[in-house]
Amino acid sequence: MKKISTLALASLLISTVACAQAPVFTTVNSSGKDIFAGVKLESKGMEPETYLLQVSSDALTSNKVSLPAELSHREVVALFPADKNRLVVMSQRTVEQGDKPQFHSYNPEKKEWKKLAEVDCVSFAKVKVEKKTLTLSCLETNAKGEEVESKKQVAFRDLTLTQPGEVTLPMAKVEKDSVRAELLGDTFEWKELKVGQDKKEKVFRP
Amino acid sequence: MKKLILITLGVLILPSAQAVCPDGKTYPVHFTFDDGPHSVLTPRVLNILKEEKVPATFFVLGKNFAGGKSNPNNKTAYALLDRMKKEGHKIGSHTYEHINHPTFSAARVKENIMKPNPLLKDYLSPVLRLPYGGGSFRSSNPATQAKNDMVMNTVKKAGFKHVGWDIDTNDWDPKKRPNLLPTLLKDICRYKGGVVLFHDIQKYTVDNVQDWIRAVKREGHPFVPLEDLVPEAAKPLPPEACEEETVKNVKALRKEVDEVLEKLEE
Repeated sequence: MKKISTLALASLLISTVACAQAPVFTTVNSSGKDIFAGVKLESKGMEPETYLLQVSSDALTSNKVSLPAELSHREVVALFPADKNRLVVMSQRTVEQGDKPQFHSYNPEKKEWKKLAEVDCVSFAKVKVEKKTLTLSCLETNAKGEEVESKKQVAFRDLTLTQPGEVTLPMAKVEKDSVRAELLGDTFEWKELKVGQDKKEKVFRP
Repeated sequence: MKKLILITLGVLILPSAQAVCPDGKTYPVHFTFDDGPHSVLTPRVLNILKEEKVPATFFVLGKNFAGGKSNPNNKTAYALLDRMKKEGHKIGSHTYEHINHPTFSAARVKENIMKPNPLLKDYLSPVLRLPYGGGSFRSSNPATQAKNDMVMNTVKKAGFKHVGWDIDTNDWDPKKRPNLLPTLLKDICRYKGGVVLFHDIQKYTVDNVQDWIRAVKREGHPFVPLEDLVPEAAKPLPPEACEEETVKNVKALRKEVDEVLEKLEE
């Protein structure tokens, strides 16, 4: 009897494990001396769970940064460094259909989150980063069945973005001064994050 | 030598062996299309499905039929439903507006789930897909779970089986599109086939879906009707789906009877 129940327990455990996928990285960027990466865990039938992995490039140590409850089931789509070592976190619900991307700021020193804005642009890959604005190139299929591009801008009053330029998402690699970080694995199934500074290097898993 | 030539000829002439999953198996697949119908793109999808002899399911949005058959602007949309039905596809509800239900009140959730049903009652199978899957998942957060339960109870009370998906292709997302086909093929093996999610309002999807169907066929995976994976899809739409309309009709009938009785009394 004991053997049967052990077997049943083991098979339940195996099926549960089989349904759960390993967590994956979704994007990476740097802010101040730290590297930040979005992490997503998807299990069949469950809401996706997301968080940030913060890696200190000096000590090459990592810690998990939980997202506010309203963001915990949204995918971290992109990270943009801002002044005072802050980070702008762009998130989107990516299940079935994308929703309006939301922008939150995260202050690692104070561990403070603040909602900044959201923008009506579901499908996009290119983002123009300026000091006070982000401009998304939105793709939309119109009534005639044509795919048209429009620009949607989101402005930030209380912070300044520190890495201006044009980026094509996903961001899977970043280099700043002597610090470098790269997501490893198949695209959107990145299972490792390699962080290096000078000759030091370490691989992190979510 | 003769044997070698025969083998070589066989390899060249016979259709190439089916590429299967790493476990040596192939798995049943069913394509579904959300958010339509689109007056230009959905007919193209239907043409492709017909050519490829592939049965599919369309989860349509009720707002695309606002005003019902009496609205002349809906002629094309209803003609597309007629065509889907005639060509052996299933039609499911994607609710009225594309909203994330758990973020709304119970009354609004009920309204958005019930509103399309009288407009689509001649077409719908008792299957429904919640926009964003909102409400259909289990959550580790008790507050989120309570809202999800409220949504799913409303779906169930309306007589629908919620049909999610086994494979989400993210066809709406330009960031993920470059990997769509390899990921789809990998996911069919990973999840042992099942229901695949697309959108027939995306030009990109309609431009590429024939190639994707052919790639899946090349791997040896069979396309099956929805009822093979979700038996409830074979049933008719139950009366509770149009509950409000039934109540309205009964009230109207009672009023008519009362009027006739009053006249008789006079």
